[in-house]
Amino acid sequence: MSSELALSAEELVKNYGKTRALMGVTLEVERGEVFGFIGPNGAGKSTTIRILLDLLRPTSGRVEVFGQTPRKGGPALRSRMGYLPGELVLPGKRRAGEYLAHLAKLRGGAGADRIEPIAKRFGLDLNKHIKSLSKGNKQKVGVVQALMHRPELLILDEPTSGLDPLLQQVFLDMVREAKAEGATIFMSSHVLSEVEEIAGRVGIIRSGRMVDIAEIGELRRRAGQMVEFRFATPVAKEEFTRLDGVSEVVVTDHRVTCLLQGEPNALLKTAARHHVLGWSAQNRDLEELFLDLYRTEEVPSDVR
Amino acid sequence: MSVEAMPVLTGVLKEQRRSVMAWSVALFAVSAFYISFYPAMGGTTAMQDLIDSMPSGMTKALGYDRIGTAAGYIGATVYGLLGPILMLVFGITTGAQLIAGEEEAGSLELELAAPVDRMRLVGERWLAVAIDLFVLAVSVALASVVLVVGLDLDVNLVNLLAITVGLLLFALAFASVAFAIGAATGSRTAALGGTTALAAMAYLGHAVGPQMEGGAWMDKISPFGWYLGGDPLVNGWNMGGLVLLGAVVVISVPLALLTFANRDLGT
Repeated sequence: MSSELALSAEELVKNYGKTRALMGVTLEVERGEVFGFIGPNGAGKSTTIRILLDLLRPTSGRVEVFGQTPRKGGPALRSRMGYLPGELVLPGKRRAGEYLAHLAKLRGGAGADRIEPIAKRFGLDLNKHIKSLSKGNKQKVGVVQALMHRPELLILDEPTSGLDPLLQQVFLDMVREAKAEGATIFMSSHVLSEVEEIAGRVGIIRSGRMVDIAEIGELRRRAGQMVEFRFATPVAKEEFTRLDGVSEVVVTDHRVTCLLQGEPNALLKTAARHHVLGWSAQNRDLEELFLDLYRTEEVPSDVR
Repeated sequence: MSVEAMPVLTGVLKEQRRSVMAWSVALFAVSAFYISFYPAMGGTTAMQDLIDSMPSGMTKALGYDRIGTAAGYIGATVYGLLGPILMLVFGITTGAQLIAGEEEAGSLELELAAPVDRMRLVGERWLAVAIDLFVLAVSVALASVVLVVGLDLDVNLVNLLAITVGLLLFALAFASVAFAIGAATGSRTAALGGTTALAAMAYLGHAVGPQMEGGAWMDKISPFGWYLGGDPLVNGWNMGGLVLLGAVVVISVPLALLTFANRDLGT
């Protein structure tokens, strides 16, 4: 097996009784990569992630983390991973610091020295009892324990839920630092914008199947730009509609708007034949691209 | 940060320390309270007259036919009813909680994702239940010893040890069954419901069985019977019963380990 891969899954299937949660997920993530795992709630993101951690066993298919199946890899493999669950629930009777120290002990002490510095960056009070913490503060506890032992593979299930925008930035900074240190990051979300800033590649899962895997740049190209020109004189619509990579052309009087996917060269040259008074080009929100993908199919309701 | 030999166990004990302390104090107090009434009640002829006037089936079911002696009184009250019932309540709820309850709530997730072998996690969590129950049994025994010595009651302390070991194994047997059902199914409801039903049947088998025509077998297969049969506080060690209670534990724990190691968690 290639040692370049942090994780790989091939035709991964998971059934809960009669419910099919995963219907053949295939994906590969290389070491050092930041991979965004995007899909609506119930698409099978958490199921896939929990298989990687050997919390669930696949019904069929192959899955490997650092070249080992999660089951065979066992505790030794999990010691190289950090995990932030999608639905984080913490036992309530201890102080945040005590609980984090406990989790470090389960790792043979790994990460204990980083609890305080990371907590400080997030403004988490380690002396508070967990049950008295707000949802956002509990999420901070989850983030600290996922990062503290400098895992080689960081698995984050909807990591920024519950964090305010400022803390989301602190969080993304920490993830970038982990990446700079060579960590691989596998990060799920139901919205693309959460991973857009940081992920190199994105995989899209829907109803237990991967529907697309692409680089963020490629997705941006596909999403395209909304371009608008203002001309001194009226122009003919046909001039623009026949251009490659140009669609959704709307001409109203002296104004032309269109969707550009790909190189702007042809469009600009065509526009330049006229007297251009003004122009703008806006990257289309990637979210719109995904909304199109999501809408098309019903999702089983009782899938994690 | 030191490396602990059993981090899962110490984590659970820290999480529980307040509630176990409260239970321990409560059991000590209730036991002491009951025994302190003996000189005023059980030791008098008035008490014996009252007992004689009650239907014999009822007094036998409650063990009150032996209440005229100190050993009989303590055996029927502290060790015969309150101790085992309270220890059962604690043991069954804790046994059901430490795997299934926390798994269902989701608070076990981070520990399961930690580099800890599943069997080890289950083993250490079971050990936590065992240690809790040991502490509670010691509290009952301590209260009994203090009052027996303090009031100069006629109770053999070796027999007190024998019945305390029985009480511990009795509660641990049911706690282990609840723990195993929880570990196998991940359902706290199944663990609580299943074990409580078994305990209720066991109690009926012990209390009612012997008084029914040909019902003695019910007491023989009841863990209550294994624990209290032969009246250990009066007559000393009932090894057969202790072995049967121990067998329940010895069967339950490996079942918990194996089933938990081989199933999906937290679904």
